[in-house]
Amino acid sequence: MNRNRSLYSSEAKWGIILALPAILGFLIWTLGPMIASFVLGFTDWNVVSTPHFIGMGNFKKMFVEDFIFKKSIYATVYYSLGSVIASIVFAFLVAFLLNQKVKGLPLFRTIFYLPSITPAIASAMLWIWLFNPDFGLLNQILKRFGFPRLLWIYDEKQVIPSLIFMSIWGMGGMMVIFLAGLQGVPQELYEAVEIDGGNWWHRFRYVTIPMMTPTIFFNLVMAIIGSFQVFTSAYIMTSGGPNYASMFYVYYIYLSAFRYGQMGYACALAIILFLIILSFTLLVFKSSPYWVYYESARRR
Amino acid sequence: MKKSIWVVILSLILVIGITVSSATAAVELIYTYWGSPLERDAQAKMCRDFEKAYQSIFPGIKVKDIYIPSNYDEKINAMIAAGEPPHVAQLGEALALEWAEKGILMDILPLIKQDKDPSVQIENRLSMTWYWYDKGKKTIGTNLAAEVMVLWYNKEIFDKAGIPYPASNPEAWTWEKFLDTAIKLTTDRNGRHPGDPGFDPSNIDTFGVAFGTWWGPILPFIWSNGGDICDSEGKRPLINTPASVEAIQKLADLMLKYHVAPTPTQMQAFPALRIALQTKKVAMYIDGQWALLDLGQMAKEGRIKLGVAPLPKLRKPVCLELGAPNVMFTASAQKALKESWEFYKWTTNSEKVISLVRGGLWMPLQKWYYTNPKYMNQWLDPAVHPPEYKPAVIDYLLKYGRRSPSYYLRNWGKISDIMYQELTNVWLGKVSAKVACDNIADKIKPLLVGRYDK
Repeated sequence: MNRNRSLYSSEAKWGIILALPAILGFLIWTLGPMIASFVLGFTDWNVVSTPHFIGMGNFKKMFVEDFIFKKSIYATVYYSLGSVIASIVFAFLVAFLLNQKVKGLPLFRTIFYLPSITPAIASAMLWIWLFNPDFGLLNQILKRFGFPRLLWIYDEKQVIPSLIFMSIWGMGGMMVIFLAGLQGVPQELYEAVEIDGGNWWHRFRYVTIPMMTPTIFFNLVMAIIGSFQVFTSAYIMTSGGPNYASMFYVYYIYLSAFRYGQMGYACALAIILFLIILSFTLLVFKSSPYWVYYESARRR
Repeated sequence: MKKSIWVVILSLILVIGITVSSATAAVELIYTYWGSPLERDAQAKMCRDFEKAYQSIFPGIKVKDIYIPSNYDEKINAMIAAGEPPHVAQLGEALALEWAEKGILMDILPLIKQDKDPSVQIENRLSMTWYWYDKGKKTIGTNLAAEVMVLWYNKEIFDKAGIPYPASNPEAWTWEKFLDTAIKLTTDRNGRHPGDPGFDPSNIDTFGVAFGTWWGPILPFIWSNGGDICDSEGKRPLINTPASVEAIQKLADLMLKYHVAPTPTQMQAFPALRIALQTKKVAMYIDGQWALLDLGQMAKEGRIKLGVAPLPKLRKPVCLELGAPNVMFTASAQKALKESWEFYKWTTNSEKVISLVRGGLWMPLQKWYYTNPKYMNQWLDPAVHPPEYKPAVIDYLLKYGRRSPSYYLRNWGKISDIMYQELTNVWLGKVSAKVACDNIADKIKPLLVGRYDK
């Protein structure tokens, strides 16, 4: 008994020691800066001088004076809603197709997955060319079919839809998760539908979709968090333009902190982003009992 | 046993190493800067020259030159936050004066007053290049070099078309002549010019002129037309006055109405503008004098027949003078004041960096380089500087020079960003210059809170 306890405690001790790098890393590099940035959000810190506590000053400025803040909230929410819905639908459909027995399946899977391992900068550069109104491939295609020329990322109204369109291209990771989920759907359920005389639609609607809801849920949460933090396309492709139409929130935080040197204000912006992402995530979590089906859980 | 011997030996080496290096550890100055690769080599050489020249005065002195080609402000911010800013640094204009007011950068006026070196005296440098703050009572110094916006052109294209070169005299080089020249030099795939029947604006082989859409190429035209971004107090927007709007509309018309200049989206298919000039994609282009570093190199190698002209005038000639300051950071420089000051003077003494000046990158700061023929010859390299350089650039600067708002206007970084964003819609033909300028005026109003120097 005694020996057992000492074994446990020594195991616990070693467990903690061995996990210490990860724990310390989290405390020093993640939790610490998070707390620091929360505190700094209430100051006027500009990196070079000592911070002064200014209460809600940053937030007041944000909501009252700062027109870029409003534009960036709009751009980011617009983009997030669009890209989350579009990429989930698209990734699901592609995964569904890639789950069928067709010739050259590994090749298709590779092709659809490939974009998501392309470095963000490289794919941004590529899309700049595709979107070019004068020489870009997309407009060449439109022209071939007699459609009018679009300005894509160079137009205030088209820039967000264009970037949503581009985000679909990078849905490979999500697709792989869907594919794994699809392969986990028990075959006997499909057989049961067939025995009852159901067609492909019934199989899809009453077996595939319900069994996939946990996977959809996971992808939805990850996609929301990821899409609110979109940065590269604004940084590389549009500089937040035209006329601030793609001033994504994280890019604006970056500009405030490093270009304008307003670190305190940037921290305050980050607090707001944290609250936005938190509330969206909570919303999805709270709604999950109504639409996510776990085989092991009992229905309410 | 063997192991412990190695440990002993290694620690001995370490101890000796540390002792030796700390015994010889003289001051090591940190200098940060940006620029093209050619610039990096030249600046590094400048640092080595300083080390050699000052070895007897400051034995063992070293300059650690850190080249930061991109995300410059962020890295400097990080160095400051880490408590180790550079001693001397090139710095973006948007941040410099703000930091100066907070005491991050040194006021060097007291140092200048104590020093007899003529190269650093206030009256001996181009007065436009000084950065004043605290109502003009303090200064962080001058630019690293003087720079102006000019019009570069490829003489071969002019020769072939049989069109006279742009006038070197700013008074004679009018907008009408400029537009006419640009139209004649613009050719589509079938050799037609804008205005010819059948001209195809979507397949242009050579554009008459090209310019970037940041404030550098735009502002001189606004001024030349009698407009401005704001009043001289820096309090009231003037960007939406008829004179300013007209100038911007005229620039937009070059792209959209006359098709003699590429739009920003067309420019994307362009190589760097200097290459576009050399390969005859454009006949003229507006850029800083600094472009001469690369253009001059091409001219020297006989790959381009280079010409330079002042910017065309709308109502009166204006030459935009701009640049980025070289500064001393208080926290570091105070610890090695003598060394930092000597090095600061060295970097801004055009004589010490004459290779960069002669190579075309920089224009000198000291006035005698502009007035005394002896000094002028040290600077102007006939293989690099085109023959019309003196009237088209030097006289243009001396007679019509006006410093950019980055020298004095508060919130310049944000104001110029707003201008850039709003004007994008003008270059794409989405809105008229008037609409965009009204928007800009509204948005910059709260940012116009005066000047640093007044």
